[in-house]
Amino acid sequence: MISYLLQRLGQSLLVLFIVVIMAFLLFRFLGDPIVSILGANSTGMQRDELRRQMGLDAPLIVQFFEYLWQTMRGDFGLSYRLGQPVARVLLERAPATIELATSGLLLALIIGIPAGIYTAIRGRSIASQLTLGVSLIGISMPSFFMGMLLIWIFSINLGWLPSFGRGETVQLGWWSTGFATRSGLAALVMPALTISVFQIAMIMRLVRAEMLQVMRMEYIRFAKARGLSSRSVYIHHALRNTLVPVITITGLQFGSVIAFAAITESVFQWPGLGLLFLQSVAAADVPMLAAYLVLIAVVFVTINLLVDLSYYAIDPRIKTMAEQKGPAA
Amino acid sequence: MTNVYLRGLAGAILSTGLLALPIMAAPAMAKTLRIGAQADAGTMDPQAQNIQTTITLLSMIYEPLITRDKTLAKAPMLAESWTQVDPNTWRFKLRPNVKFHDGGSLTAEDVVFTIKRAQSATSQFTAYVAGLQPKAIDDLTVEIVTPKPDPLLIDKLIYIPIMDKEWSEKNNALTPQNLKEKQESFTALNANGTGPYKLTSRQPDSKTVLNRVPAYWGKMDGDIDQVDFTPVASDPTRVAALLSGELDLVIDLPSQDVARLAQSPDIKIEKIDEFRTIFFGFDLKNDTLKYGDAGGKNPFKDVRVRQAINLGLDRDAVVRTVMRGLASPTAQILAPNNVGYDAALDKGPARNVEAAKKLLADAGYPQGFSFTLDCPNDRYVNDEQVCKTLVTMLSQIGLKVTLNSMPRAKFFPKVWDRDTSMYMMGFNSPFFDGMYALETTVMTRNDAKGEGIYNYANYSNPQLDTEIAAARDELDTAKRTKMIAALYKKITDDALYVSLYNQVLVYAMRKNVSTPIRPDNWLDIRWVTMN
Repeated sequence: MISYLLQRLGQSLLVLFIVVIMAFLLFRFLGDPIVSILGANSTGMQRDELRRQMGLDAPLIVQFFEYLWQTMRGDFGLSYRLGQPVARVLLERAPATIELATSGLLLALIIGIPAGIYTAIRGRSIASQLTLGVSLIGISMPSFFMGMLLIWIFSINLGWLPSFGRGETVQLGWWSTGFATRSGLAALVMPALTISVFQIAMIMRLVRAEMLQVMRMEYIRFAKARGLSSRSVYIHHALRNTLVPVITITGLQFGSVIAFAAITESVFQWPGLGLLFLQSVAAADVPMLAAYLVLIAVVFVTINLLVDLSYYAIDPRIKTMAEQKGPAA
Repeated sequence: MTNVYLRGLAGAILSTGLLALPIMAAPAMAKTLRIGAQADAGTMDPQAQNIQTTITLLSMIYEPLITRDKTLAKAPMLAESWTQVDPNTWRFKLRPNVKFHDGGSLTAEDVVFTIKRAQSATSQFTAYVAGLQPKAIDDLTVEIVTPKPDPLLIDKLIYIPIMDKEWSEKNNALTPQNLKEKQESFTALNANGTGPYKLTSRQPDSKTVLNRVPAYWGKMDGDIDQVDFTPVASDPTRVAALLSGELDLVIDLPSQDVARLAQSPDIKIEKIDEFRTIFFGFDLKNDTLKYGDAGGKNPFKDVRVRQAINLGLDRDAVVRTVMRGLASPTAQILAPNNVGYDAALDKGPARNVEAAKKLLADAGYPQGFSFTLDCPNDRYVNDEQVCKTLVTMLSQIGLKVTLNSMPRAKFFPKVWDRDTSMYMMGFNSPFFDGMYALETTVMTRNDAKGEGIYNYANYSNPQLDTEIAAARDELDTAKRTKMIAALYKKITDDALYVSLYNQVLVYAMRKNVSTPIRPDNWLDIRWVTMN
């Protein structure tokens, strides 16, 4: 158990280290941060002076170790674009993205699981054919288009929902929440829906496929033969066995929803990490971008680690393998 | 923890309660102007960012010594009056009893402090105050000595809003940014001016709220009580928010939406020719083409080649198609309403492919030549599209152009290094005056003197330098204007830069909003009304 844990932790740290190196190298070639600090209209003397001040004239390898040392101490420096500490800005923007991602995924589960069950059980009905068709659109429609469509319907034509922003937020310690106000909830609807469309379709199709497979299992046939009600068979026997992969996938999706919320956030001017990332790219705000990349890597690695560890707890086969010849990679 | 939670909960209940009664809760007379823009003001520091959005927003909070009135003439602001003691010395009499928002009084020391602060390394306004020596004569008198006679001093000071010395010292905000010590800038999020509005709250990239100061010293026509400045990066969303009534005024409109918005019964459109001329520059120094192949030579040094390019482009077509009519064709690099502007130079030659080919042949390039055009793709309206169109047009006169378009964070460092053969540029003189463009884009590069700093062509003509310097130092206004106009004629005839058009600036607003629109895109809140 301990050696498995240590090995997984070691792998995670290795991944993080590689990301830190890549973050440094990648953003060296993104463009010159001096443009965002001094503007396009600056003199050569001003620029040279600033490069000296910021240590940008030092050899690349010196800059790298400086960067590595600071990152290891958790010091991500100062954002060139905002003039504020990177860590604090990330902390301020994280709640918006986490609330958006959580709402989007919850919505996806609430709609996706029942729809998946329905299409699995009543596969031939018109309603389920229609649902499957719509879900195909959901998978293939780009999220910015979905966002614009929602804005066109609900903001311009019906005037029900705000087209941008996060509404009023309430401060709970350092966490700012939009769940506590009416305008915050109204502002959440369209972005959460936009993010969830793809996830709904995916979860629905996953549940459906798993259900269909489980339904062919012998124990389901036995259960039916025993004369149990269909409801009991479907919900207690079939669904329960399909949920393990669904939860795993949803967990993994949470990471990618956070990482790829950028487009949705920029459509709705949602003040979260994704919007921050896009605006930092435009300004070549290197410290911000590097920290963002590291943060996303931490999120992914943590989620993967938790999923792996939960397998260890759930699935006895891994334990046996670990005892025989070490864990599977 | 529980306390925080309870407070949050109470706040939540309170605000939902208030929202349930929106009509009763909102004071009937409060006028809130919700402004939407593509990008946020990058900072609340009046010297850290020379970008018009930031200047506009901060001009509601901060005030300079001199301003422009509704007719764009120079008018007193924090300085009641000013006199020129001798060619190099100016004296400003400050308005008495002006208070900063934190209660501090405006004194001559604040003006001296502000000008010195604007001269620091991380200020983006160093060019406007270079070499100035400010001195406090008494509490309300400031003397400024210029390094040489400067007819534009007053125009430059319009861009230097006055900060409070005590406040800046107390909050360790002595420079616009302190990147060396990696120190957080207090002024990124806080402001303390003398203006009609004070900063109530600021969330970068999200919302900045300003409220009217009841004790404001001045009078103004504008009647806005609260300004909500909200950046909305996505073009269609910003337009949608205006249509749905969530914004009252949008100050940068995507050109494709202008015609559609004009159709809407709730929306009003205002337009003006902007001070931003889009033109192309060439490497005029190197003897061989750095990016391209012309048999070991640099064809751009030959005036016939530049004139051939001038003949090869169709300005009207670019304006009509790519710019959707939201630009005015011009063959010179100076926009209307600037001192030294001559409308006759706007008219370029009509497109003539044969004549262009003949000029190229005369210059020794009957088969044309190939080169790379550097172009930003996130700086000017439709920049990349315009460059693409140019590539096609020039291919018809036999030039093989490779387009190298890139984000501005890559583009500018490239042209700063003069590492280009041909490049796109958008430029304006900030002082309603043609001298700045001549001084910075035509004169031989001399960073220390601020000359030729945007001369990315690396052009050098000592004769022209002398003439520009003479016009710059001329104190007789009529004579000076004539000299500037003559210089523009010279560089236009020489096709030093090949110019395309002036951008048209468009504001869209709800029908109940009235605002003047200025060619420098400076939204002056003092004239904005709502009814």
